[in-house]
Amino acid sequence: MRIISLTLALAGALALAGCKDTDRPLSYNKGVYGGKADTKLQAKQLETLRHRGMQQAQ
Amino acid sequence: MARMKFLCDAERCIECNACVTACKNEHEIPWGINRRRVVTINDGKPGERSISVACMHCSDAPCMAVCPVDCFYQTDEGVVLHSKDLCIGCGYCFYACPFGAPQYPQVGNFGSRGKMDKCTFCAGGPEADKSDTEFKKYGRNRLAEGKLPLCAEMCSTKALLAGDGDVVSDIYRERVVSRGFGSGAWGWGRAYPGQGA
Repeated sequence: MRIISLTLALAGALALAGCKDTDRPLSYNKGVYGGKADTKLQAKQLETLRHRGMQQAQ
Repeated sequence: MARMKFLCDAERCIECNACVTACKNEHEIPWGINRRRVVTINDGKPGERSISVACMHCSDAPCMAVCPVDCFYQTDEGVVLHSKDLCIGCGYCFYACPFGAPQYPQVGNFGSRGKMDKCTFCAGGPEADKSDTEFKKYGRNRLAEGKLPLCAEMCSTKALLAGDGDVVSDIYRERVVSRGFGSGAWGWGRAYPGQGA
């Protein structure tokens, strides 16, 4: 009986472990992006892009 | 910095489709998906014009407005991106987009067409910059490398311009002045008849 209980408890714990929180948003706010945040470009990168854009005139 | 923008100069585009090929190659886009394509009007007739079309990264993007799961976001530079983790492949954005930019890996009904794919302005996605995950889901992140979209950078006639909207408009304005006629912008005359076309 004890073995069965232990087995059931172990199986339950394993099953619950599969319900761990993920990166997906669990609540929905209408009109609001709820996914992962993107990395912002640095000022130096933006300046490089601006100079690179100017080269298209040549 | 102004918003990032594409501008295709229809007076220069020679319909070589190199932008389409470069995009597919750079991002390893699978067969059947075209993030960019070249549209030609009056093919073989006087007045023939070609224009390279992809996501135009609209300021007030209709795809963002209709998305039922709000998987779209705009970067500080005005690039419209989306999360494939949130996308449910419903296809609403495809019907809303006036440029036909959203693409799907499979053909099918609601939910069976797979995650939407579109031009990212070579800015990747919400995954870590330059990571394998980002590349596999969204393609290469050239902006993080300090490079502009490859379609524009390799355009042989410099018809397709990309980058800071102020820079792009300055380049185009100088071209119009040196050509000596009209705005030259494709569709301007039809949209604004009698206003400098």
